[in-house]
Amino acid sequence: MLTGSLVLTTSDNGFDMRTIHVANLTKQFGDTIAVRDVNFSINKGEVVGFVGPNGAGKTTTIAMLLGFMKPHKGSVKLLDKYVITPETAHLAHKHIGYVAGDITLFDGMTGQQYLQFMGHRFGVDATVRKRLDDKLSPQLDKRLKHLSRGNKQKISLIAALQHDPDLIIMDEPTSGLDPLMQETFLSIIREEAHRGATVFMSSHILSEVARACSRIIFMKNGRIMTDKPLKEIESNAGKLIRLSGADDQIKALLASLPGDAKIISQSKTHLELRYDDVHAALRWLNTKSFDDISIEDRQLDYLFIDLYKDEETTPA
Amino acid sequence: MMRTLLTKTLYDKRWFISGWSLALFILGILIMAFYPSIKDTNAFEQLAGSLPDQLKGFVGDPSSFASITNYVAVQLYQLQAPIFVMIMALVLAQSLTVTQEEKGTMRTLLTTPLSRSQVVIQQWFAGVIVSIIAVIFTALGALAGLASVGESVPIDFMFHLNALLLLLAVTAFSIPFAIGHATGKRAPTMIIGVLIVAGSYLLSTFSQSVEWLKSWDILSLLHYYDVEALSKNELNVGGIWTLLLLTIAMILVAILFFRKRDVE
Repeated sequence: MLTGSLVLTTSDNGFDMRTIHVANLTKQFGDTIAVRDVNFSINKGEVVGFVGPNGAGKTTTIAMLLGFMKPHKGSVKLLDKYVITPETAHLAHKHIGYVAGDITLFDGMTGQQYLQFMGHRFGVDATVRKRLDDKLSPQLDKRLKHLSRGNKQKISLIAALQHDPDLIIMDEPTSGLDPLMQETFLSIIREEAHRGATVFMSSHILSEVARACSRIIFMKNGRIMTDKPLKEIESNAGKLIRLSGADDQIKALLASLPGDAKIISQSKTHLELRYDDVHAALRWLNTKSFDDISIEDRQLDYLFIDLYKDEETTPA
Repeated sequence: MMRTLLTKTLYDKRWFISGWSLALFILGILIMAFYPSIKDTNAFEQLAGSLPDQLKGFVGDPSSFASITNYVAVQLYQLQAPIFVMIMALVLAQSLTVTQEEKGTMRTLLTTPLSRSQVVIQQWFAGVIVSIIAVIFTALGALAGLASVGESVPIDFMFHLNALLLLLAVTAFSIPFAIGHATGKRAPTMIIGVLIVAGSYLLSTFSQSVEWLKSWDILSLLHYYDVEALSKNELNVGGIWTLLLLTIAMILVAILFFRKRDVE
């Protein structure tokens, strides 16, 4: 079981405002459909992970959420109020904090100048800025082009959060950061969620998403494959059963394998299976002979891999 | 200093402004310093006389040496300074538009509550201020050069020359600026920008002596930058209006297209 997950849902905080509402969103580049008919809503206070392999359409979706790009079809509404287009997106930006792993800062400025400039744009509260400065201790006196990636990311995070945004959108925010910095980032995200901010975070670091988010949206080939609470995903992950025995025992197990068991790996003396219903698995194994057995929860990472590999999965 | 996009842009461009201002200041001094050594000789007339008619436009009218006011107008404000400020304007326009987009800083800017129209307007004003500074330094260079050779020209004449140069610089900035914002692509911005600078220069130069090019001269930006009229104490009002209207049209193009398009 994952510990430290933040679980805030609509019912937990009593809010039902849709902070993000995406309807039939479609974006095409030439003949390539990058995002196709995507629909989802995120309520106030939710912390949602947006997960998918490279090229899934996550960044393009976020670009449309922020008004960098206009959809060919569909619409984006933020904070229950702002219909996002390139022309109108700035009206919502006062309430949004955006952090991206590959965001380009204004390299000719020092960190201090950058935060001042961004702060003035948002009418920033200096106390929030100080709290973040104290927590992250970024180097503010050097020009941004001379700073390490980690320091740039700290400054980028402070710039995004210094105005206490209602909605925080993050695109691969911790890519390239060391584990210590990743943990600091995640702890700040949790704090922001406790404050009441809605967090929408794209990542391909699956363990990171699981540590921070209460709901996961999977995307692949421009489509939403599944959109479920983390708890439900974990409970449906099934069990990993490892069996060992003599060659003939393993052969006998393979010969009588139930249809809903999936072979993960096998050798002459070992067999690794995925079985969704542990009770059914125990009934089957009760009639079989083997030397040793271990049963454990399947890791979330394997679930994601299954999902990405499974070409026949029906989109949600 | 970092309160607005306008001041931020000027701060970002401080070295660019310094470099170009210095270059234009030196240009003014050098061209004026050249005057005493040539005004009493006919070497320049001989040089112009030895060139085929088609190339005479490159060296200017030899009669310009007859008076210092004509010399300032033709050699600095008609031949040299326009090319410098048009190149400067092209480089500046590119760096504020497509370069920012390629680097990703345009998206960073657009994450703030600043509307796209505001981005265009504040950047355009920054370009105008850079142009004003560049023109002021051209004038200062010319005045310093004139003082160093013991010459002077009427101050109102200098004002008119510099006002016209400023208008040319702003128009030459506004065209690639608009294309850069409208498309976000380097290729069209660069191609059209270079066509404007080099094309205007070559067209206006050759059309002076190549008959069939004369009708094409209206396509040159320099056609509307009429220093010759100023030298005759006249004002080409049509040319000034054309540059002004072209500039306004370009600002509108930049705003209308940039407001709606995808920013990569």
